[in-house]
Amino acid sequence: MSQTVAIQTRGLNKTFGRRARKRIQAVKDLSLEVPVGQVYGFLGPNGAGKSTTIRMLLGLIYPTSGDAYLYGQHVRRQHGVLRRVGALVEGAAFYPFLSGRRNLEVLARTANCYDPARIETLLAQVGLAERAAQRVKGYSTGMKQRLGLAAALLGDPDLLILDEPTNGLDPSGMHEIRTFIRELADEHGKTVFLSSHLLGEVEQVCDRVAIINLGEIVREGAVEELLAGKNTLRVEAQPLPRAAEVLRAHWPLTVNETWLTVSARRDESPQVIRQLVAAGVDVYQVTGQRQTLEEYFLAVVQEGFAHA
Amino acid sequence: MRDLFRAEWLKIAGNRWVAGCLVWIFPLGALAFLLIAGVVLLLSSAARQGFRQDEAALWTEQAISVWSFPNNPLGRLILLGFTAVVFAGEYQWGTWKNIVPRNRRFALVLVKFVALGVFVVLAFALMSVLWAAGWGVLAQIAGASYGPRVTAGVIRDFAGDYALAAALAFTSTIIAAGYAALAGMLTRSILGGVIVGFAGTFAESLSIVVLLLIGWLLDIPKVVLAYRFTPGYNLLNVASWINEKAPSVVRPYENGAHAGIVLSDSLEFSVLVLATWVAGLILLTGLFFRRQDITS
Repeated sequence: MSQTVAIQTRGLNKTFGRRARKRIQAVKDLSLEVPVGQVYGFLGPNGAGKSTTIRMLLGLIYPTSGDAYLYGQHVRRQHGVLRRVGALVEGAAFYPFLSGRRNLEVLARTANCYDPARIETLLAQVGLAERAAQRVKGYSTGMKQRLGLAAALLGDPDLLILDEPTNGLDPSGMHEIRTFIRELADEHGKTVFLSSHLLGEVEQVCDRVAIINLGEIVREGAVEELLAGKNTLRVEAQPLPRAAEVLRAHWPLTVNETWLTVSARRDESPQVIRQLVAAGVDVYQVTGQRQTLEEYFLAVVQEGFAHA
Repeated sequence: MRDLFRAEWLKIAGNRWVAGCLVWIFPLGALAFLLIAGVVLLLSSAARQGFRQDEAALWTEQAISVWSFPNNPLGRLILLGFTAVVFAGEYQWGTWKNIVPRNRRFALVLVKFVALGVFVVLAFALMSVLWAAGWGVLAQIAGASYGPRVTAGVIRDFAGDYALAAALAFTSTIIAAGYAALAGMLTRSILGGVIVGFAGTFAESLSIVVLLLIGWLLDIPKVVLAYRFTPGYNLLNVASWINEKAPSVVRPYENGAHAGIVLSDSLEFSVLVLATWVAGLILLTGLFFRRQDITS
């Protein structure tokens, strides 16, 4: 397997529950590849199988079948490869009776990579230097999340697996983390596997995304590619029913309260206007609109639920 | 492995409330008892006289006597609670997900047993020093003798017995820890660890009754000999070898045709059985944990 691939899964399956009635297949035949040096978004609604997949990548959950590889090494058979990985899984959790600094020491020593200077650097980097001596019990969710990021970076990993890293952070904190993630990939060549509900955040920071629904990957690709050709025109015209009738012959469209959403590219807008004017429809405004990742995601997920 | 041990130690010692209530309570309790006894002796001549009339105290016996605490039911229950926190606490705090990717699962479990055992042994070593020294002070206050005189021979004998008693307490703690650890990991709860662990310990002490019953039902009286392989019997046997320099003798059938069935074993046999139990429980916990899904 090429070393240009940080994560690879082949036919990964996970079923919870032994009795037939209680059996839940959380992940179904999941195969994906995450190229080295990219920020890869992993999206899906609640219960889609994101966290189960992440836990299988980290050796926390054993797949029912299938294989997971990190940098070409099998996660279960070659545990050592996890030393190249830093992770923040489903909300940061720490020993509440230890200070932030001590928690990092415990984790670093567990991984045989204890370096006090690195701990201080990371605490400063995530803005916790002044509160590092305080017990974690007194930390806010945002502070725990920052400590979780520091913990993920302890061993200077090549791959970061971050599950909802901005949970509990204020807008400026979220912005900081987004910038930080991009820097890790662009300036330090790290690979980041990012699971998030905040699709705006993913769109801004990710190179590629995979959308998982009901345990299966339903779309995968570069963000630009997925959203390409998904542009629409917002057409405000009167009378609206007549406008819809004219345009429907040429482009798919949806009728809204006072406007039409036409699935056409921006360079097709003169043609749209000509068609309407020729049919005697008054045109008030035609504006090009780029589909957001959120709209794309919702459409894909709804399509999945409709087929389920 | 040293770093991993240090990490575990930081967690155990750093959980001050739990370590204080479930481990340091032993030396602190001993200290409190000695202080109260000292005050009573200072204030009461009758108490001083009573102390003098008792059998002459020996510092060697006093130092060794504290190692029996991990084997009594209350001591066992407290230590089970501590073990359950050490193992099942990781589920409660949701911290397995942080540490499992950082090291091998078996190493994580093994180091918990070692750190826990060392922590408990250190606490009891401190308690034995406090107890032996404190008893000397009490003897001084009461005007009683406190022997034996320190000679090379006394030290040699004492060191051997002390090491055996400490090893026995350590073994007993690790076996109890094995029950609690297994139960804590199965139930993923501290309370579950304590309850099931204590039930396991209790069931083990009742095993001779169960074996007698099975022997009676199947008409195979020798079934009771299986009791030789329980930790309880072997801990008792080792203790007997330490204190009496002779094996413990268990006669399951006091009278009757089967009165000849007697359990009496060598020190080596018991050490071997206990070592097997310790290794077996650690291995079982490690194997179970290796296959467990960490979902919290």
